[in-house]
Amino acid sequence: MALSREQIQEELKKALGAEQVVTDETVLKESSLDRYRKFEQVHEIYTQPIPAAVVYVKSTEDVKSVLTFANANGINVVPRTGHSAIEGGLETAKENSIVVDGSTMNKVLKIDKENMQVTCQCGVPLQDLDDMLREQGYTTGHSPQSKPLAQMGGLVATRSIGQFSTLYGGIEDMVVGLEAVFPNGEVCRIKNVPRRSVGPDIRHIIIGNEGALCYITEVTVKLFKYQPENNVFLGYTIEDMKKGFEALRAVMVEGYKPSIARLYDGPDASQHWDWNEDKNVLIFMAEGPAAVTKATAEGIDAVVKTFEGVKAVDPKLIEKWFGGLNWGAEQIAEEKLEILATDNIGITTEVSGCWDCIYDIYKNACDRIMKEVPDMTLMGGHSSHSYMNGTNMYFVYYYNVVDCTPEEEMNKYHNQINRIICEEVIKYGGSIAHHHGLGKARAHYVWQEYGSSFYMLETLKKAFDPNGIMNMGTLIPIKHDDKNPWIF
Amino acid sequence: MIRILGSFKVVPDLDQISEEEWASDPANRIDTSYVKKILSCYDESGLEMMLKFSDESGDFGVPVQLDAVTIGRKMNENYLKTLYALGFTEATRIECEKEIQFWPEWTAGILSEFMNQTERYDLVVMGNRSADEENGKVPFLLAEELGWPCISQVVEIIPEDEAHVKVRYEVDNGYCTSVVQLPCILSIGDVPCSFLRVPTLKDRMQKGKKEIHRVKIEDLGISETFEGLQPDLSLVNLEVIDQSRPGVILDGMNAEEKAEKLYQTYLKGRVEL
Ligand SMILES: Cc1cc2nc3c(=O)[nH]c(=O)nc-3n(C[C@H](O)[C@H](O)[C@H](O)COP(=O)(O)OP(=O)(O)OC[C@H]3O[C@@H](n4cnc5c(N)ncnc54)[C@H](O)[C@@H]3O)c2cc1C
Repeated sequence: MALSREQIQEELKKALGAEQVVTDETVLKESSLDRYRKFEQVHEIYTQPIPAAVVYVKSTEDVKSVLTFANANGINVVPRTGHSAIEGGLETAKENSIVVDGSTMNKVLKIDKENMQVTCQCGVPLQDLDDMLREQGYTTGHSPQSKPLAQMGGLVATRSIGQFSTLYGGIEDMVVGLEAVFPNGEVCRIKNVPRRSVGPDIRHIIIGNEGALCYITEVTVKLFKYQPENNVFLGYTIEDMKKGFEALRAVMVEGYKPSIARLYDGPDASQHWDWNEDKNVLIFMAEGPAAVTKATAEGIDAVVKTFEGVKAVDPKLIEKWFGGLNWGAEQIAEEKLEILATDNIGITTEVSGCWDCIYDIYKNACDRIMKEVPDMTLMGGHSSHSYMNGTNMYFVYYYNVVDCTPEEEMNKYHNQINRIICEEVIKYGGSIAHHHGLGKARAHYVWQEYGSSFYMLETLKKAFDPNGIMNMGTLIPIKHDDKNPWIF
Repeated sequence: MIRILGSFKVVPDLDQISEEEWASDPANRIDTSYVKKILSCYDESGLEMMLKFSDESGDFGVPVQLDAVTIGRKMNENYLKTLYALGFTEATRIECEKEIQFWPEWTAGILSEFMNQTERYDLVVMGNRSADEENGKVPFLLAEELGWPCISQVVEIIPEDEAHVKVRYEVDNGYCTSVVQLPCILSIGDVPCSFLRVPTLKDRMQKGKKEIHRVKIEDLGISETFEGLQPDLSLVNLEVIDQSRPGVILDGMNAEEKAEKLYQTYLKGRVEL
C-alpha cells in the first residue's frame, strides 16, 4: 500500500534528520513547478500535485538513502539543484513526490591545474566556481545566461550550453568524469581520463538524463586558461535573415572557431539594441591567445563582409552589451513585477536544425505563430550556437494574456506556440530541444523526436529505473493524449 | 473632450551598466552612449496612467484624447510608434540630436513654446524628474511659463467631469486625493510596479504606422545652436554617498538554523540584559 504524505515525511526525517527535511507549505508549493509555468508561478497559482517534502542532501550517502527508500515505496523523486529549469523538468507530476535538492552539496573538491580539470559536488553554483577559477587565471568555459542561478548537477543533467559554446562546446564536451546514484542505490563513478575506447561512452547515460535515470552527485569538468585581455568583438547589421544564416555557415565551414557566433532577427535584436534600426544583427567574439584571436577576428570579418547587405558596427557596442546579458535572482524578481503589472509575458523555445532547413524552420514557425496564436506582442529569435553541420534557433516570443485565468494561460498560449515550433522542427528533421532539455511539455513529442531510436531511450529508462520513480513524466510522458498532445 | 499631452524623455538604461564599470569610474562619468535607451521610468508611469484614465473615462461619459511629445533623437520615434499602437492620437518629436542634460529651463522653454503653437491642452502629464539627471524642475518651470497649477508626486488620475480630474498624490505621511480644475500639470511621482502596457503586433501594424509629427527647434523660435542660451549649471562631478554598513552574512542550512545563530550570537546577550 502506498505510504501517506505524513509517513513519507516521517521516514525521511528518520533517515536524514528533521533539519534536512522541509515540509513548509509555501516551500512545497514553490517546489511543484518551474519556469515552464511562469504565468502560474508569478500569480502563485499551483496546479501541479504538491510534493510531500523537499529534502536537502549533504552527501552521496544521503542521496542513496532517499533514492532506495523512494524506489522501495514507489515514490516519485524529482532531483533539483539550481531551480532554474524552464521546461517542466522540476514539476512534481505525482502526488507526494520527494524533491531531492542537492544545492547543499556545494563543495569544490579539487582544482587540478596539472591535468586541467576541476571536480565539484552537484550543488556548486557555476557562477561561484567560475569566479573562483577566473581569479586564478582559469575558466570552465561554460557560461549559460543562467550562470548566476544554475548549479553543476542541473547543468549536466540538462545538457546545458553556454554563450561561448562555439569554442568550448556544450557541457557534454566539458565533462570528463562523474558520480551518480541510481534508484536502486547503486553508486557509479566514471573516472577522469582524456579519452577512452572501452565500449559505449557511458557518460552520456548520465549527461542529459534530466533526473529521469539517476541522481548526479559529482562532476569533473575541463579547465581552460582565462585570457579576456585578448578578446576581440565583431558586430554587423545584415539586411536579410537568410543571408545571415549563410554568413554563420560560411564562418563555420571556413574553419573559424569564434567563441560566440550569433545571429539575431530584427524583432529580437531590437529588444537588446536601438542602433540596429530593426535590422538583423550578427555578432562574433574571438577568444584565446592573442595571435589566435587576431587571426580569427580578421578571418571572420573578411568572410562576413562578402555577404550582401552587411554593415559593420562599432565592436564596443557588442562588448558593452555582452557584459550585462546574464540573468540572476534580481532580474527574475523584476520580471515577475512586470508580468503582474502588464499581463505581458516573454518565453523562449530553443531548437536546432541543419543548415539546409534552419531558415525554413525559423520562417515557418514565426509565420504560423503570428497567424494562429492571438495577442502576440513580439515574435522573433536568434541563433546562438553554431556547428559544422547546422545551428540552433532560439525563438523568443511575448504575448498579452487576455481574457483567461492563470490556469488557462498554458493551453491558450504557451502550449500552442510550443506545439507549432515542434511541428515545424519535426517536419524538417531538426531537434525540438537544443539545450533546455525535453522536460515534461516537449516530452509529448518524444516519439517523433527519437523515431526508431526511441527504443533505446525506453530501454534505458526501464533498465535503470524499472519502478519508474525518477522524475515521472520527464523525457517520457506519464499521460499522453494522441489527439490533443498539447492540452495538459 | 479632455485633451491630454504626455511628455516623455528617453534615457539610457543604467541598469545595463555592469557593476565593474561603475566601480572603475569613481566620478560616475560613465559613457552611456553604448547602452540601450528606455523610457524614463516616471514618464512611463505617466503614459500608462493616461491610458488607464482613458480606459475609465468612458464610464464617466468624458471623451479623452491622448497625445504625446518628446524632445530627442530619431531613435525616440520607436516609442511614439508604440504609443500610436496603444491608441494615442497625435505623436510629436521635437528634433534634437544633441544630448541635453542638466538644463531644465531649456526643456521647459521648448515644451511651453510647443504648447503655445499647438492646440489647447487641458492637462499635461509628465514624470517629476528624468531618471538620468534627476533635476526635478521641468514640470514646475513649465507650469510657471504657462501660468498653470502643478500637482506633484501624482500616483493616480481618475476621471471626474469635463472640467476637472481627481488626482491622488503622495504627501509627507500618506496620500491625498483632490479634485483639480483644468488646465493643470500633473507631475508623476514614484508609482511602484507601473509599466507601460505592450501593444500587440497587430495593433503595431494597424495603428503604429501613423505619421509622426516632427518639429524643428528653430521653428519654435529657439535657436538650434542654443546661441545666447546657456545652462545655469554645468556638471563637474558626481559622487556616490557610501551607504554601506559593516555586515556579516550568516550561513546555515535553513532559515531556522540561521535564526538560531543570529539569536545565539547577536541577540541573546542583549535580551538577557
Ligand atoms: C534566465 C534563464 C536563462 C537560461 N539560460 C540558459 C542557457 O544559456 N543555456 C542553457 O543551457 N540553459 C539555460 N537556462 C536553463 C537552465 O538554467 C539550465 O537548464 C540549467 O542547466 C539548469 O540548472 P539548475 O542547477 O538550475 O537545475 P534545476 O533547475 O534544479 O534542474 C534542471 C533539471 O535537471 C534535473 N536535475 C537537477 N539536478 C540534478 C541532479 N543532481 N541529478 C540529476 N538530475 C538533476 C532536474 O530534475 C531538472 O529536470 C536558462 C534558464 C533561465 C531561467
